[in-house]
Amino acid sequence: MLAAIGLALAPVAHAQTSVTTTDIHLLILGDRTKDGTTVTVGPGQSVITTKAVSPRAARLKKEIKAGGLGNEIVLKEGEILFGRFDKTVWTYCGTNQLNAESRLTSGAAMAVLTAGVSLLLEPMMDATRFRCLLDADKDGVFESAWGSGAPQLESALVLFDMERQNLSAPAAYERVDPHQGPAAEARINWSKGRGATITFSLGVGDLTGQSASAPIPTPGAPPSLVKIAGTKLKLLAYDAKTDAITVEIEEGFSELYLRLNGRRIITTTYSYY
Amino acid sequence: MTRLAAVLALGALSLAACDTIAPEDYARRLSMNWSLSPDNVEVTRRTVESGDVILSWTAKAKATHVMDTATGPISLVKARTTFGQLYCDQKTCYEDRDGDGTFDMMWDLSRNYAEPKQPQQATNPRKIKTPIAFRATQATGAAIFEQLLALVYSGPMEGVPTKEQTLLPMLGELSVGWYGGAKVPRTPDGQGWSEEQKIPLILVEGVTPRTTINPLGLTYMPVRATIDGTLELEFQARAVEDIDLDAKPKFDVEGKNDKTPADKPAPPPQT
Repeated sequence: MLAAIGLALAPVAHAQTSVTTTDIHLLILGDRTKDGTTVTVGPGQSVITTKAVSPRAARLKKEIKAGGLGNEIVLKEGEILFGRFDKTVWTYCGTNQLNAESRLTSGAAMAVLTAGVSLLLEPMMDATRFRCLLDADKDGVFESAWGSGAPQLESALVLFDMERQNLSAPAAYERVDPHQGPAAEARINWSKGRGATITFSLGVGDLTGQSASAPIPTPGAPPSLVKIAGTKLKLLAYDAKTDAITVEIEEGFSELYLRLNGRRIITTTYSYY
Repeated sequence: MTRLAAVLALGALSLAACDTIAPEDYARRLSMNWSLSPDNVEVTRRTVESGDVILSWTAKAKATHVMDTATGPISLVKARTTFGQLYCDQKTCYEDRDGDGTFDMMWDLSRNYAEPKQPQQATNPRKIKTPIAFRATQATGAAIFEQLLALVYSGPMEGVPTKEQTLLPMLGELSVGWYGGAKVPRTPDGQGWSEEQKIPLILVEGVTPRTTINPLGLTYMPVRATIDGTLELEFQARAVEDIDLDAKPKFDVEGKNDKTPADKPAPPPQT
Protein backbone atom coordinates (compact mmCIF):
# COMPACT_ATOMS: atom_id res chain seq x y z
CA MET A 1 0.00 0.00 0.00
CA LEU A 2 2.87 2.35 0.85
CA ALA A 3 4.34 1.68 -2.55
CA ALA A 4 0.99 2.49 -4.14
CA ILE A 5 0.83 5.76 -2.21
CA GLY A 6 4.36 6.61 -3.33
CA LEU A 7 3.33 5.98 -6.90
CA ALA A 8 0.29 8.15 -6.40
CA LEU A 9 2.42 11.12 -5.33
CA ALA A 10 4.69 10.95 -8.36
CA PRO A 11 3.41 12.47 -11.62
CA VAL A 12 2.42 9.95 -14.27
CA ALA A 13 3.61 11.03 -17.68
CA HIS A 14 2.26 9.77 -20.96
CA ALA A 15 3.74 10.86 -24.27
CA GLN A 16 1.88 10.68 -27.55
CA THR A 17 3.49 11.32 -30.88
CA SER A 18 1.58 12.38 -33.95
CA VAL A 19 2.86 13.14 -37.41
CA THR A 20 1.30 15.89 -39.48
CA THR A 21 2.11 16.06 -43.15
CA THR A 22 1.28 18.53 -45.83
CA ASP A 23 2.28 18.94 -49.47
CA ILE A 24 4.11 22.15 -50.25
CA HIS A 25 4.02 23.33 -53.85
CA LEU A 26 6.99 25.53 -54.69
CA LEU A 27 8.46 27.35 -57.60
CA ILE A 28 12.23 27.45 -57.17
CA LEU A 29 13.34 30.65 -58.86
CA GLY A 30 16.15 30.64 -61.38
CA ASP A 31 19.40 32.41 -60.52
CA ARG A 32 22.38 32.00 -62.83
CA THR A 33 24.46 34.85 -61.43
CA LYS A 34 26.86 32.43 -59.69
CA ASP A 35 27.60 30.38 -62.80
CA GLY A 36 31.30 29.62 -63.14
CA THR A 37 32.20 30.71 -59.59
CA THR A 38 33.98 28.55 -57.04
CA VAL A 39 32.97 28.57 -53.37
CA THR A 40 34.44 27.03 -50.25
CA VAL A 41 31.81 26.39 -47.61
CA GLY A 42 32.10 25.08 -44.08
CA PRO A 43 29.72 22.95 -42.03
CA GLY A 44 26.20 24.35 -41.87
CA GLN A 45 26.84 26.74 -44.76
CA SER A 46 24.88 26.53 -47.99
CA VAL A 47 26.61 25.97 -51.31
CA ILE A 48 24.18 28.18 -53.23
CA THR A 49 20.86 29.83 -52.44
CA THR A 50 17.90 31.26 -54.29
CA LYS A 51 14.28 32.09 -53.54
CA ALA A 52 11.19 29.90 -53.71
CA VAL A 53 7.62 31.12 -54.07
CA SER A 54 4.23 29.47 -54.13
CA PRO A 55 2.99 28.85 -57.69
CA ARG A 56 -0.03 30.99 -56.85
CA ALA A 57 -0.49 34.43 -55.30
CA ALA A 58 -3.44 36.75 -54.81
CA ARG A 59 -3.89 40.43 -53.95
CA LEU A 60 -6.46 41.23 -51.27
CA LYS A 61 -8.84 44.00 -52.34
CA LYS A 62 -10.21 44.75 -48.89
CA GLU A 63 -8.83 44.78 -45.34
CA ILE A 64 -10.08 41.89 -43.21
CA LYS A 65 -9.67 40.61 -39.69
CA ALA A 66 -9.29 36.88 -39.21
CA GLY A 67 -8.99 34.77 -36.08
CA GLY A 68 -10.54 34.60 -32.66
CA LEU A 69 -10.15 36.28 -29.31
CA GLY A 70 -6.48 36.85 -28.60
CA ASN A 71 -5.14 35.82 -31.98
CA GLU A 72 -7.02 37.99 -34.44
CA ILE A 73 -4.85 39.38 -37.19
CA VAL A 74 -5.41 42.05 -39.80
CA LEU A 75 -4.67 41.43 -43.45
CA LYS A 76 -4.52 44.76 -45.21
CA GLU A 77 -5.94 45.81 -48.56
CA GLY A 78 -3.36 45.28 -51.29
CA GLU A 79 -1.49 42.60 -49.35
CA ILE A 80 -0.10 39.78 -51.53
CA LEU A 81 -1.09 36.37 -50.19
CA PHE A 82 0.65 33.13 -51.14
CA GLY A 83 -1.27 30.10 -52.39
CA ARG A 84 -1.38 26.84 -50.48
CA PHE A 85 -2.89 23.63 -51.82
CA ASP A 86 -4.13 21.41 -49.06
CA LYS A 87 -6.30 18.32 -49.41
CA THR A 88 -7.70 19.31 -52.83
CA VAL A 89 -8.37 22.94 -51.84
CA TRP A 90 -6.46 26.15 -52.64
CA THR A 91 -6.28 28.83 -49.98
CA TYR A 92 -4.33 32.11 -49.96
CA CYS A 93 -2.36 32.93 -46.86
CA GLY A 94 -0.83 35.94 -45.16
CA THR A 95 0.27 37.06 -41.75
CA ASN A 96 1.05 39.91 -39.44
CA GLN A 97 2.72 40.13 -36.09
CA LEU A 98 0.64 39.88 -32.95
CA ASN A 99 0.76 43.02 -30.88
CA ALA A 100 1.78 42.92 -27.22
CA GLU A 101 -1.83 43.00 -25.98
CA SER A 102 -3.03 40.07 -28.09
CA ARG A 103 0.08 38.06 -27.22
CA LEU A 104 -0.83 38.45 -23.52
CA THR A 105 -4.44 37.42 -24.16
CA SER A 106 -3.26 34.40 -26.10
CA GLY A 107 -1.09 33.35 -23.16
CA ALA A 108 -4.07 33.66 -20.84
CA ALA A 109 -6.19 31.50 -23.11
CA MET A 110 -3.51 28.80 -23.14
CA ALA A 111 -3.37 28.88 -19.35
CA VAL A 112 -7.14 28.39 -19.14
CA LEU A 113 -7.09 25.54 -21.62
CA THR A 114 -4.32 23.69 -19.86
CA ALA A 115 -5.52 24.12 -16.27
CA GLY A 116 -5.75 20.84 -14.40
CA VAL A 117 -3.65 18.85 -16.79
CA SER A 118 -0.14 19.98 -17.60
CA LEU A 119 -0.06 19.93 -21.37
CA LEU A 120 3.39 20.44 -22.79
CA LEU A 121 3.39 21.10 -26.49
CA GLU A 122 6.50 20.92 -28.54
CA PRO A 123 7.39 23.00 -30.41
CA MET A 124 5.76 25.97 -28.64
CA MET A 125 3.70 28.18 -30.85
CA ASP A 126 5.53 30.97 -32.59
CA ALA A 127 4.32 34.53 -32.11
CA THR A 128 3.81 34.76 -35.87
CA ARG A 129 0.40 33.65 -37.00
CA PHE A 130 -0.87 32.93 -40.47
CA ARG A 131 -4.39 33.07 -41.84
CA CYS A 132 -5.46 31.38 -45.03
CA LEU A 133 -8.53 32.53 -46.96
CA LEU A 134 -10.82 30.23 -48.94
CA ASP A 135 -13.00 31.05 -51.94
CA ALA A 136 -14.98 27.81 -52.07
CA ASP A 137 -17.31 28.84 -54.90
CA LYS A 138 -14.53 30.49 -56.96
CA ASP A 139 -16.41 33.76 -57.37
CA GLY A 140 -13.42 35.97 -56.60
CA VAL A 141 -14.45 36.56 -52.98
CA PHE A 142 -12.95 34.89 -49.91
CA GLU A 143 -15.73 33.75 -47.63
CA SER A 144 -13.93 31.85 -44.87
CA ALA A 145 -10.65 32.01 -42.97
CA TRP A 146 -8.44 29.16 -41.84
CA GLY A 147 -5.49 29.17 -39.52
CA SER A 148 -2.63 26.96 -38.63
CA GLY A 149 -1.18 26.14 -35.24
CA ALA A 150 2.42 27.05 -35.86
CA PRO A 151 4.41 27.72 -39.00
CA GLN A 152 7.73 26.04 -39.59
CA LEU A 153 10.43 28.43 -38.55
CA GLU A 154 11.98 30.50 -41.33
CA SER A 155 9.49 29.41 -43.96
CA ALA A 156 6.28 31.30 -44.42
CA LEU A 157 5.13 28.78 -47.01
CA VAL A 158 4.84 25.79 -44.69
CA LEU A 159 1.74 25.57 -42.57
CA PHE A 160 0.17 22.69 -40.71
CA ASP A 161 -3.13 21.77 -39.10
CA MET A 162 -5.65 24.05 -40.71
CA GLU A 163 -8.63 25.00 -38.55
CA ARG A 164 -11.56 27.26 -39.32
CA GLN A 165 -11.24 30.81 -37.96
CA ASN A 166 -13.54 33.82 -37.76
CA LEU A 167 -13.51 36.20 -40.72
CA SER A 168 -14.73 39.79 -40.25
CA ALA A 169 -16.37 40.00 -43.69
CA PRO A 170 -16.10 38.42 -47.15
CA ALA A 171 -13.28 40.02 -49.14
CA ALA A 172 -12.64 40.24 -52.87
CA TYR A 173 -9.25 39.35 -54.32
CA GLU A 174 -7.47 39.00 -57.64
CA ARG A 175 -4.87 36.46 -58.73
CA VAL A 176 -1.45 37.97 -59.46
CA ASP A 177 1.90 36.78 -60.79
CA PRO A 178 3.20 34.29 -58.19
CA HIS A 179 6.63 35.94 -58.32
CA GLN A 180 5.03 38.89 -56.47
CA GLY A 181 4.19 36.66 -53.52
CA PRO A 182 6.22 36.13 -50.35
CA ALA A 183 9.34 34.06 -50.85
CA ALA A 184 11.23 31.53 -48.78
CA GLU A 185 14.92 30.78 -49.11
CA ALA A 186 15.86 27.67 -51.09
CA ARG A 187 19.40 26.39 -50.69
CA ILE A 188 21.68 23.52 -51.52
CA ASN A 189 23.09 22.15 -48.25
CA TRP A 190 25.86 19.62 -47.86
CA SER A 191 26.95 17.06 -45.31
CA LYS A 192 29.74 14.54 -45.11
CA GLY A 193 28.83 10.95 -44.52
CA ARG A 194 31.01 8.26 -42.94
CA GLY A 195 32.57 7.26 -46.24
CA ALA A 196 34.39 9.41 -48.73
CA THR A 197 31.22 10.97 -50.07
CA ILE A 198 29.46 14.29 -49.76
CA THR A 199 25.67 14.44 -49.80
CA PHE A 200 24.00 17.52 -51.22
CA SER A 201 20.36 18.28 -50.48
CA LEU A 202 17.77 20.91 -51.33
CA GLY A 203 16.43 22.75 -48.30
CA VAL A 204 13.47 25.14 -48.17
CA GLY A 205 12.72 26.40 -44.68
CA ASP A 206 12.89 23.29 -42.53
CA LEU A 207 11.99 21.03 -45.43
CA THR A 208 14.43 18.82 -47.24
CA GLY A 209 13.77 17.89 -50.83
CA GLN A 210 15.96 16.16 -53.37
CA SER A 211 19.39 14.87 -52.41
CA ALA A 212 22.38 13.55 -54.34
CA SER A 213 25.71 12.12 -53.25
CA ALA A 214 29.11 12.45 -54.88
CA PRO A 215 32.49 10.86 -54.11
CA ILE A 216 35.18 13.16 -52.76
CA PRO A 217 37.72 13.39 -55.59
CA THR A 218 41.19 12.23 -54.75
CA PRO A 219 44.05 14.71 -55.41
CA GLY A 220 44.66 15.01 -59.12
CA ALA A 221 41.40 13.27 -60.02
CA PRO A 222 38.68 15.06 -61.99
CA PRO A 223 35.90 16.71 -59.93
CA SER A 224 32.69 14.87 -59.12
CA LEU A 225 29.65 16.18 -60.98
CA VAL A 226 26.40 16.62 -59.04
CA LYS A 227 23.02 17.49 -60.52
CA ILE A 228 20.44 18.58 -57.97
CA ALA A 229 17.30 20.75 -58.07
CA GLY A 230 18.18 22.17 -61.47
CA THR A 231 21.78 23.02 -60.54
CA LYS A 232 25.01 21.47 -61.81
CA LEU A 233 27.83 21.45 -59.28
CA LYS A 234 31.41 20.19 -59.45
CA LEU A 235 32.78 18.92 -56.15
CA LEU A 236 36.46 19.85 -56.31
CA ALA A 237 37.76 18.97 -52.86
CA TYR A 238 37.01 18.27 -49.23
CA ASP A 239 39.36 19.62 -46.56
CA ALA A 240 39.17 17.39 -43.49
CA LYS A 241 41.09 19.89 -41.34
CA THR A 242 38.56 22.68 -41.78
CA ASP A 243 35.64 20.39 -42.58
CA ALA A 244 34.91 22.41 -45.70
CA ILE A 245 34.17 21.61 -49.32
CA THR A 246 35.17 23.49 -52.44
CA VAL A 247 32.58 23.48 -55.19
CA GLU A 248 32.48 25.00 -58.65
CA ILE A 249 29.00 26.12 -59.59
CA GLU A 250 28.80 25.08 -63.20
CA GLU A 251 25.13 26.03 -63.47
CA GLY A 252 23.13 27.75 -60.74
CA PHE A 253 19.40 27.34 -60.16
CA SER A 254 17.12 27.06 -63.16
CA GLU A 255 13.43 27.61 -62.49
CA LEU A 256 11.87 24.40 -61.23
CA TYR A 257 8.46 23.36 -59.92
CA LEU A 258 8.63 21.04 -56.92
CA ARG A 259 6.19 19.51 -54.49
CA LEU A 260 7.82 18.81 -51.15
CA ASN A 261 6.33 16.78 -48.37
CA GLY A 262 6.23 18.80 -45.17
CA ARG A 263 6.30 16.66 -42.06
CA ARG A 264 6.08 17.77 -38.48
CA ILE A 265 6.31 15.42 -35.54
CA ILE A 266 4.53 16.65 -32.46
CA THR A 267 5.17 14.98 -29.15
CA THR A 268 2.55 15.83 -26.60
CA THR A 269 3.37 14.94 -23.00
CA TYR A 270 0.50 14.73 -20.55
CA SER A 271 1.48 14.83 -16.87
CA TYR A 272 -1.17 13.80 -14.35
CA TYR A 273 -0.60 14.82 -10.71
CA MET B 1 -4.74 9.22 0.18
CA THR B 2 -5.88 5.59 0.45
CA ARG B 3 -8.80 6.36 -1.84
CA LEU B 4 -6.41 7.95 -4.34
CA ALA B 5 -4.23 4.84 -4.29
CA ALA B 6 -7.29 2.66 -4.83
CA VAL B 7 -8.34 4.78 -7.80
CA LEU B 8 -4.87 4.52 -9.30
CA ALA B 9 -4.78 0.77 -8.76
CA LEU B 10 -8.14 0.47 -10.52
CA GLY B 11 -6.78 2.57 -13.37
CA ALA B 12 -3.75 0.31 -13.65
CA LEU B 13 -6.03 -2.74 -13.75
CA SER B 14 -8.09 -1.11 -16.52
CA LEU B 15 -4.94 -0.44 -18.53
CA ALA B 16 -3.86 -4.04 -18.01
CA ALA B 17 -7.28 -5.15 -19.26
CA CYS B 18 -6.81 -3.00 -22.37
CA ASP B 19 -3.57 -4.79 -23.11
CA THR B 20 -5.29 -8.18 -23.17
CA ILE B 21 -7.57 -7.46 -26.14
CA ALA B 22 -7.04 -10.22 -28.69
CA PRO B 23 -5.76 -8.96 -32.06
CA GLU B 24 -8.85 -10.30 -33.83
CA ASP B 25 -10.98 -8.04 -31.62
CA TYR B 26 -9.22 -4.81 -32.54
CA ALA B 27 -11.15 -2.37 -34.71
CA ARG B 28 -10.87 -3.54 -38.31
CA ARG B 29 -10.68 -1.48 -41.47
CA LEU B 30 -13.32 -2.58 -43.98
CA SER B 31 -12.58 -3.10 -47.65
CA MET B 32 -15.44 -4.08 -49.92
CA ASN B 33 -16.01 -4.36 -53.63
CA TRP B 34 -17.76 -1.54 -55.46
CA SER B 35 -19.60 -1.20 -58.75
CA LEU B 36 -18.84 2.15 -60.39
CA SER B 37 -20.99 4.12 -62.83
CA PRO B 38 -19.24 7.22 -64.20
CA ASP B 39 -21.23 10.42 -64.70
CA ASN B 40 -19.74 10.64 -68.20
CA VAL B 41 -18.62 7.75 -70.41
CA GLU B 42 -17.64 9.79 -73.48
CA VAL B 43 -14.06 10.57 -74.48
CA THR B 44 -13.76 14.05 -73.01
CA ARG B 45 -11.12 16.75 -73.11
CA ARG B 46 -11.33 19.36 -70.35
CA THR B 47 -9.19 22.02 -68.76
CA VAL B 48 -9.36 21.85 -64.99
CA GLU B 49 -7.61 23.48 -62.07
CA SER B 50 -5.86 21.59 -59.30
CA GLY B 51 -8.56 20.59 -56.84
CA ASP B 52 -11.34 20.49 -59.45
CA VAL B 53 -13.49 17.39 -59.71
CA ILE B 54 -12.85 16.04 -63.20
CA LEU B 55 -15.24 13.12 -63.08
CA SER B 56 -17.41 11.40 -60.51
CA TRP B 57 -18.72 7.88 -60.16
CA THR B 58 -21.74 6.55 -58.31
CA ALA B 59 -20.26 3.70 -56.31
CA LYS B 60 -22.45 0.89 -55.01
CA ALA B 61 -21.44 -1.92 -52.69
CA LYS B 62 -24.01 -4.55 -53.60
CA ALA B 63 -25.40 -7.34 -51.44
CA THR B 64 -23.45 -10.57 -51.65
CA HIS B 65 -25.06 -12.54 -48.82
CA VAL B 66 -28.35 -12.91 -46.99
CA MET B 67 -28.91 -13.56 -43.31
CA ASP B 68 -32.18 -15.25 -42.35
CA THR B 69 -33.73 -13.79 -39.19
CA ALA B 70 -37.07 -14.11 -37.45
CA THR B 71 -38.14 -10.78 -38.93
CA GLY B 72 -37.12 -11.75 -42.45
CA PRO B 73 -33.99 -11.91 -44.60
CA ILE B 74 -31.37 -9.17 -44.25
CA SER B 75 -29.04 -8.42 -47.16
CA LEU B 76 -25.34 -8.03 -46.42
CA VAL B 77 -22.21 -7.16 -48.36
CA LYS B 78 -18.96 -9.02 -47.88
CA ALA B 79 -16.06 -6.93 -46.56
CA ARG B 80 -12.40 -7.87 -46.30
CA THR B 81 -10.54 -7.15 -43.06
CA THR B 82 -7.13 -7.96 -41.62
CA PHE B 83 -8.56 -11.02 -39.88
CA GLY B 84 -10.92 -12.48 -42.45
CA GLN B 85 -14.28 -11.46 -43.78
CA LEU B 86 -17.17 -9.59 -42.24
CA TYR B 87 -20.66 -9.24 -43.71
CA CYS B 88 -22.22 -5.83 -43.26
CA ASP B 89 -25.48 -3.96 -43.54
CA GLN B 90 -25.57 -0.21 -43.07
CA LYS B 91 -25.02 -0.29 -39.31
CA THR B 92 -23.80 -3.73 -38.28
CA CYS B 93 -21.27 -6.27 -39.45
CA TYR B 94 -21.40 -9.99 -38.72
CA GLU B 95 -18.65 -12.58 -38.53
CA ASP B 96 -18.49 -16.34 -38.81
CA ARG B 97 -15.41 -16.64 -36.65
CA ASP B 98 -15.50 -20.41 -36.17
CA GLY B 99 -16.24 -21.05 -39.85
CA ASP B 100 -19.33 -23.21 -39.27
CA GLY B 101 -21.57 -21.32 -41.70
CA THR B 102 -23.34 -19.26 -39.03
CA PHE B 103 -22.65 -15.81 -37.64
CA ASP B 104 -21.32 -15.97 -34.09
CA MET B 105 -20.00 -12.41 -33.68
CA MET B 106 -21.40 -8.95 -34.46
CA TRP B 107 -19.67 -5.57 -34.80
CA ASP B 108 -20.71 -1.93 -35.05
CA LEU B 109 -20.04 -0.39 -38.45
CA SER B 110 -18.49 3.06 -38.19
CA ARG B 111 -18.18 5.60 -40.94
CA ASN B 112 -15.65 8.36 -41.58
CA TYR B 113 -16.29 10.99 -38.86
CA ALA B 114 -16.82 13.76 -41.42
CA GLU B 115 -18.33 14.04 -44.87
CA PRO B 116 -18.34 12.03 -47.12
CA LYS B 117 -18.89 9.55 -44.25
CA GLN B 118 -17.97 6.45 -46.19
CA PRO B 119 -18.08 3.09 -44.31
CA GLN B 120 -14.67 2.73 -42.76
CA GLN B 121 -14.25 0.22 -39.96
CA ALA B 122 -15.87 -2.32 -37.68
CA THR B 123 -15.63 -1.77 -33.94
CA ASN B 124 -16.93 -3.19 -30.68
CA PRO B 125 -17.09 -6.95 -31.42
CA ARG B 126 -19.41 -9.06 -29.28
CA LYS B 127 -20.69 -12.59 -29.31
CA ILE B 128 -24.11 -13.50 -30.65
CA LYS B 129 -25.96 -15.76 -28.21
CA THR B 130 -27.78 -17.72 -30.89
CA PRO B 131 -25.76 -18.18 -34.10
CA ILE B 132 -27.51 -16.95 -37.26
CA ALA B 133 -27.39 -18.81 -40.57
CA PHE B 134 -26.38 -16.95 -43.72
CA ARG B 135 -25.90 -17.77 -47.37
CA ALA B 136 -24.55 -16.25 -50.56
CA THR B 137 -27.05 -14.51 -52.83
CA GLN B 138 -27.66 -16.06 -56.23
CA ALA B 139 -28.34 -12.89 -58.21
CA THR B 140 -26.75 -9.45 -58.08
CA GLY B 141 -27.96 -7.84 -54.90
CA ALA B 142 -29.30 -4.40 -54.11
CA ALA B 143 -26.89 -1.70 -53.00
CA ILE B 144 -26.09 -1.82 -49.30
CA PHE B 145 -23.88 1.27 -49.54
CA GLU B 146 -23.99 4.03 -52.13
CA GLN B 147 -21.34 6.75 -52.20
CA LEU B 148 -19.84 9.23 -54.64
CA LEU B 149 -16.29 8.71 -55.81
CA ALA B 150 -14.44 11.46 -57.66
CA LEU B 151 -11.33 12.08 -59.72
CA VAL B 152 -9.42 15.24 -58.79
CA TYR B 153 -6.27 16.85 -60.19
CA SER B 154 -3.77 17.12 -57.33
CA GLY B 155 -1.33 19.31 -59.25
CA PRO B 156 2.26 18.86 -60.38
CA MET B 157 4.87 17.06 -58.30
CA GLU B 158 7.81 18.20 -60.37
CA GLY B 159 8.14 20.08 -63.62
CA VAL B 160 10.29 22.36 -65.68
CA PRO B 161 8.67 25.75 -66.36
CA THR B 162 8.64 27.07 -69.92
CA LYS B 163 8.40 30.64 -71.21
CA GLU B 164 4.70 30.05 -71.83
CA GLN B 165 4.22 29.31 -68.09
CA THR B 166 3.56 25.67 -68.82
CA LEU B 167 5.41 22.70 -67.32
CA LEU B 168 7.25 20.38 -69.67
CA PRO B 169 8.23 17.75 -68.77
CA MET B 170 5.92 17.36 -65.81
CA LEU B 171 5.22 14.63 -63.30
CA GLY B 172 1.88 15.22 -61.63
CA GLU B 173 -0.82 13.40 -59.76
CA LEU B 174 -4.50 12.65 -60.00
CA SER B 175 -6.37 11.52 -56.94
CA VAL B 176 -9.40 9.26 -56.58
CA GLY B 177 -11.37 9.69 -53.40
CA TRP B 178 -14.71 9.62 -51.66
CA TYR B 179 -16.55 12.84 -52.22
CA GLY B 180 -19.63 14.43 -50.71
CA GLY B 181 -20.99 15.88 -53.95
CA ALA B 182 -21.20 19.46 -55.15
CA LYS B 183 -23.27 20.57 -52.15
CA VAL B 184 -20.76 19.34 -49.57
CA PRO B 185 -17.86 21.80 -49.36
CA ARG B 186 -14.31 20.53 -49.40
CA THR B 187 -12.28 22.50 -46.88
CA PRO B 188 -8.56 22.80 -46.06
CA ASP B 189 -8.95 20.58 -42.98
CA GLY B 190 -9.88 17.66 -45.24
CA GLN B 191 -13.67 17.63 -44.77
CA GLY B 192 -15.64 16.62 -47.84
CA TRP B 193 -12.86 14.44 -49.24
CA SER B 194 -11.22 11.14 -48.37
CA GLU B 195 -8.47 9.91 -50.67
CA GLU B 196 -8.43 6.30 -51.87
CA GLN B 197 -5.84 6.19 -54.66
CA LYS B 198 -3.12 8.33 -56.16
CA ILE B 199 -2.64 8.16 -59.92
CA PRO B 200 0.57 9.37 -61.56
CA LEU B 201 0.41 11.75 -64.47
CA ILE B 202 3.31 12.11 -66.89
CA LEU B 203 3.59 14.82 -69.49
CA VAL B 204 6.59 14.70 -71.81
CA GLU B 205 7.53 16.49 -74.99
CA GLY B 206 6.49 14.88 -78.25
CA VAL B 207 5.06 11.64 -76.98
CA THR B 208 2.49 11.67 -74.22
CA PRO B 209 1.47 8.29 -72.89
CA ARG B 210 -2.21 7.42 -72.78
CA THR B 211 -2.72 5.36 -69.66
CA THR B 212 -5.50 3.02 -68.62
CA ILE B 213 -5.76 2.21 -64.96
CA ASN B 214 -7.44 -1.03 -63.98
CA PRO B 215 -9.62 -2.17 -62.36
CA LEU B 216 -10.87 1.43 -62.16
CA GLY B 217 -11.56 1.45 -65.90
CA LEU B 218 -10.21 4.96 -66.41
CA THR B 219 -8.17 6.02 -69.44
CA TYR B 220 -6.44 9.38 -69.31
CA MET B 221 -3.90 11.44 -71.17
CA PRO B 222 -2.55 14.81 -70.02
CA VAL B 223 -2.22 17.37 -72.80
CA ARG B 224 -0.95 20.56 -71.18
CA ALA B 225 -0.16 21.69 -67.64
CA THR B 226 0.61 25.17 -66.34
CA ILE B 227 2.62 26.41 -63.38
CA ASP B 228 -0.42 27.80 -61.57
CA GLY B 229 -2.19 24.46 -61.61
CA THR B 230 -4.37 24.15 -64.69
CA LEU B 231 -4.39 20.89 -66.60
CA GLU B 232 -5.81 20.03 -69.99
CA LEU B 233 -6.71 16.38 -69.84
CA GLU B 234 -8.35 13.86 -72.11
CA PHE B 235 -10.12 11.06 -70.29
CA GLN B 236 -12.71 8.35 -70.55
CA ALA B 237 -14.26 6.19 -67.86
CA ARG B 238 -16.31 3.04 -68.25
CA ALA B 239 -18.69 1.38 -65.83
CA VAL B 240 -17.04 -1.40 -63.87
CA GLU B 241 -18.57 -4.05 -61.63
CA ASP B 242 -17.43 -5.46 -58.34
CA ILE B 243 -13.94 -3.98 -58.08
CA ASP B 244 -11.60 -3.71 -55.12
CA LEU B 245 -10.46 -0.09 -54.79
CA ASP B 246 -7.73 -1.15 -52.38
CA ALA B 247 -6.17 -3.54 -54.87
CA LYS B 248 -2.85 -2.50 -56.34
CA PRO B 249 -3.76 -0.70 -59.58
CA LYS B 250 -2.50 -2.00 -62.90
CA PHE B 251 -1.37 0.55 -65.45
CA ASP B 252 -1.57 -0.05 -69.15
CA VAL B 253 0.55 2.69 -70.75
CA GLU B 254 0.38 2.96 -74.51
CA GLY B 255 2.94 4.88 -76.53
CA LYS B 256 1.07 7.59 -78.30
CA ASN B 257 1.80 10.58 -80.52
CA ASP B 258 0.53 13.92 -79.31
CA LYS B 259 -2.41 13.55 -81.67
CA THR B 260 -5.85 13.22 -80.17
CA PRO B 261 -8.32 10.56 -81.36
CA ALA B 262 -10.05 13.28 -83.38
CA ASP B 263 -6.77 14.06 -85.16
CA LYS B 264 -6.16 10.43 -86.07
CA PRO B 265 -6.94 9.35 -89.59
CA ALA B 266 -10.04 7.22 -89.85
CA PRO B 267 -9.35 3.48 -90.04
CA PRO B 268 -9.80 1.92 -93.47
CA PRO B 269 -13.34 0.69 -94.10
CA GLN B 270 -13.80 -3.00 -93.37
CA THR B 271 -15.27 -5.24 -95.97
